Amino acid sequence: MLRYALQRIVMTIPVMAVVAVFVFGLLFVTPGDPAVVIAGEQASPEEVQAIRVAMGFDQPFYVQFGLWAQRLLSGDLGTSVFSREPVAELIAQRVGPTLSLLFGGLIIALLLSVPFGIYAAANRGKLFDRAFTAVTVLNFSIPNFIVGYLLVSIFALGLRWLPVQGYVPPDRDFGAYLLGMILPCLTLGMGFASLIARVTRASMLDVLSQDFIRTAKAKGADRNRILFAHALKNASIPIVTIVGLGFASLIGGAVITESIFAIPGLGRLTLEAISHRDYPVIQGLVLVFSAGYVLVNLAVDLIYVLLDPRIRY
Amino acid sequence: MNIQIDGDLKLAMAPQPDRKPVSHIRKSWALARRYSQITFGGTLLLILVLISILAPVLGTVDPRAMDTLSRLRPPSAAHWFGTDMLGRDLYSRVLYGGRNSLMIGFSVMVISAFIGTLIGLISAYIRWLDGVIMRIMDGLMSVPSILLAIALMSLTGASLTTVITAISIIEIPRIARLIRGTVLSLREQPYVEAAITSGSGPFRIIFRHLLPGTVSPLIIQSTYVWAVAMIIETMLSFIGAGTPPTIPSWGNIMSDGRALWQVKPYMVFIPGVFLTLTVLAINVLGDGLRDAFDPRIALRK
Repeated sequence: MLRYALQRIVMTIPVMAVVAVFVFGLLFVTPGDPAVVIAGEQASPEEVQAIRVAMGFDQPFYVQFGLWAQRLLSGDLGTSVFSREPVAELIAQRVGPTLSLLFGGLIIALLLSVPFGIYAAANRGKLFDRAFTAVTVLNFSIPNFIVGYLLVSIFALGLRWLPVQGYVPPDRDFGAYLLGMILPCLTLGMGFASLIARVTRASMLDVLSQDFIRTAKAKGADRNRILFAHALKNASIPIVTIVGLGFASLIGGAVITESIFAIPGLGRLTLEAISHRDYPVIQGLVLVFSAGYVLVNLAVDLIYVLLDPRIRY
Repeated sequence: MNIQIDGDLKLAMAPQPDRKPVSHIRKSWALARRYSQITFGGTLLLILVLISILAPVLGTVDPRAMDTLSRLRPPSAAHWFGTDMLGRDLYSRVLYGGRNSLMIGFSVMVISAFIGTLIGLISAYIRWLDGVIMRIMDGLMSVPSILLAIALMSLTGASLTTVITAISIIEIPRIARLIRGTVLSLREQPYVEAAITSGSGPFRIIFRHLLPGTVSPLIIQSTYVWAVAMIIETMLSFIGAGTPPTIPSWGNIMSDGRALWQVKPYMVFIPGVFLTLTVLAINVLGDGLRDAFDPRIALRK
């Protein structure tokens, strides 16, 4: 187990290296002078030159990359062109709401998807299963912000149960924080739920058609015991996999969800960075989000071993 | 032996059940019902594509024409979907916007299918390149797509070409992985090994024996790419990092309606419904194609 874990951890290094080279190299493959891109078209030549020197663009590519990578490895993500603050600090200030949103969205997605997916698989071809398939395909096809607006129209503007938007930090008022996070987490979780639910159903159907399930039925095992103890355990690998792979879309969804609900997290920081053309911040955000995705998938690979002791690499 | 012949004879002599000639219409209808998802998705998609193509003759006006005297009108006989804050006719904008949204999705699908297939083939065929290419693809895939597109768009500036390029770069690794996996498993098939042994050149093997086997997974994956590309375009435009605001697209129209959506929700929901129907049609079509092509699922039925 330890050896496998170490191997998997080492395997993430080349992936992160590719991301780093890509994020850094982007600035150089885009047409035009990167200093002009960052300064904006209205900037004076002096401003452009100042940025060029500040960012080290006057030096050759490999020197720049070397310096950048060196700083990166010591945890320095660079300095914002707009606010002059260290990017790592800007990200640290904003990471809390985004983590809440991602975590809440994931929980809601799992709660909505796995039970319904199992139930649909157990009642294959019946009315519930057909309705389930239709609803998941439909939900899967609605862009996440439309879902957000629909939820706000119903629960905030119509029924007035929940706030329309805004974010209250949990240390200020925990109740208000929870209430405020319900709609954003639902918005984020619902689209993801469809994906997990479809995989759950397919994976359960696959397992339910296997011989050991027939044996369990034949020896008179309880229906629920078959579904949850026998089938779900064996069907869980694809479910965990899709949670890991789908985490990228969950992050993308979080950027949009934060902008609908005015949540001051990393997604908002991304949008602010775009409007200020603050490339060091965008670079830092892409790196941090990618690292998060890689870590989640590392965790998924380690969970495999817990779920299925036969897996050994 | 005699009995056998006797039985056969009897069978042959027995009056045949009345067999009506099956008409073409009935045959097609049976086929359409058998592949109901393909029929439903395909028809819906066809209708939406036709609406977009025929936009000029469907009672639309210039989607960019502003009319400051009739701003923010609710849906009426003159303006079926109402007007936006610049007095532009929303019905015309939604129909013309559909052209751009569908075209962007379709272009991304074609470009990423082509380049992705090429990369996948190279990776599966030239073994020493495989590790390098796949690590690059892994790296690209670990950047969340919306963020990758945002980073690309923020550097290159908004235009139709950059939107299509940015979304294609996101989708290429997914196609490349699929093609690589398919080709690797096809290479192990006896008929390919036989072709190699009998001295077929690499081009003949690739084009004659390997590529045909990738067609059905590629078509299925491509439909999803089309759907995903349209959603990403919408999200990018919605947050102001996508198609330039001067070009109507469903994302842009919703982005315009965003500021006023609490008072004029239809400005967001009407283009939203069109987009959802399109993505739904493509997804259902893709599901249908997958079921029709996948022999395992067909067997289970």
